[in-house]
Amino acid sequence: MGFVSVKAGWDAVENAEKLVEQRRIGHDAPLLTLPQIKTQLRGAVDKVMSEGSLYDEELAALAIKQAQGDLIEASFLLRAYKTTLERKGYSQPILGKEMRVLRRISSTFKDVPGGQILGESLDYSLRLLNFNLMEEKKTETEDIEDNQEKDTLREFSYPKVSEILRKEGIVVTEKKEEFSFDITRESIVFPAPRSAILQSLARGEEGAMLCLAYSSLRGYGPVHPTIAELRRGYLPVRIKHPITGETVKIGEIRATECEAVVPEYREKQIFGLGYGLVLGYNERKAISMAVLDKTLQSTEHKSPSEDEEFVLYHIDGIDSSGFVEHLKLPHYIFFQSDLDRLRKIQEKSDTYAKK
Amino acid sequence: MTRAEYFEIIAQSSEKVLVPLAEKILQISSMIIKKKPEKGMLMLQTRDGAADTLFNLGEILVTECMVELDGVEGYMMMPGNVPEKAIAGAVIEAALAGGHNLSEEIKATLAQEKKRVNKEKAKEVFDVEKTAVRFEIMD
Repeated sequence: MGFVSVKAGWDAVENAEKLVEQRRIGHDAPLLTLPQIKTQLRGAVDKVMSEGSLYDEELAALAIKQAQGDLIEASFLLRAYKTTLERKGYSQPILGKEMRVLRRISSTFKDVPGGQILGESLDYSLRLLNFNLMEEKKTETEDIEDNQEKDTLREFSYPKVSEILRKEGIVVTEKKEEFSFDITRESIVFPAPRSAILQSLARGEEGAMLCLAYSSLRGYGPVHPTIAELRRGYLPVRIKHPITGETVKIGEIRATECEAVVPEYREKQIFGLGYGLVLGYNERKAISMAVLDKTLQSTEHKSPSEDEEFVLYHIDGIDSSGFVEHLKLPHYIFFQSDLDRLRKIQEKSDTYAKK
Repeated sequence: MTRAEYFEIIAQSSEKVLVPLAEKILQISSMIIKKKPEKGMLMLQTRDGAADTLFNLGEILVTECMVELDGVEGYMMMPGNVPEKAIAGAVIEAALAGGHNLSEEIKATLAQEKKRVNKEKAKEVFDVEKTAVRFEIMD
């Protein structure tokens, strides 16, 4: 049987699209605004910016609204939009130690230099459904006790725990890689350079990365780290001024960074370091990235989380959802072929059975 | 203050402040747009804390613009899709670089903006400081 081109169903497709839009706005509830999404669905906005790999809260909020809360779809919309934009250039290298920190914890030492700053966190609180939110009215939030003059900005940066450990000679210093591979410009070839691995992980889908990192923690992988430092806050974005050639700051991005230590043997017993850095606030993803960075440094390849190709080809939410969801598209010819084959095999089986 | 320091203040200033200030400058100066405000992406390069590897974290939406004000070039790049703010920023940047007649007023306005932004940042830092953990050793 040959391929047959068919054309049909335009009205059905248009009406299906209209139905989606009708369901989005055809009700009595107030319509969502972008400021509402940006301020009250912050986790969703940050996830979409990170996985869509484009930092812009306004566009991420728009994508979430259009996708009606389907965050992988929203990330896809952002990635698709990116293809219409020109790349103006590259920032100067951003360093995690320059972060204006709003939260910083360490699981290695209680007395880390600079101290532990919980920031906004519910990690140590009882988390139960709050039924008061069902009938919530806007009220002034309770201010934290405030009797200080706040006009002057104090620097709020901290020494990196990993740097302190490195000075003590208990954390390995990896070989520096100056070449920066860009997975948006070139296809990855395995074994992949570290820059390609980190870029892939930085825009990977949180759920997929969580699953693989969790598999390692449970024993299907070699890494169960201790968090040297988890921090989040603002990182400066700097460029070269095209007229003066000087480095200038154009603004800040919110980001989450995780450095995790794992004991290992390299000529002597030492701690290896796994690294995670993600756009926006997403601690679960930053920790998962640090775990996977470390599992991918393994030379054993005994588990899925140690296999570069397996991890990097399966953590991209847009790639994987596109491939899984393509199954919904017509496969009439292929299935007809399967069906023909099945019938022939059945006929032959029946013939042999009769003999 | 250096040109780079003024650039930073302009980039974080409010559009409501920058646009009227730029309009005032343009009432007594002539401007040529050398690169019209256009949105695009800037790749965020970063170095990892484990091996100091240079890698691409992802991109940020930016608006870029370049002008010439009375023969002096001014440039601006800002996060987001902000064409009016970016052109106003480039005009102000050029005005300061060229020692414009309104320089003192521009500097005073930017000083106010810097104070406002720092106050917001200081409030955030102050709130966070209250969450610093003080461990108690248990007997």
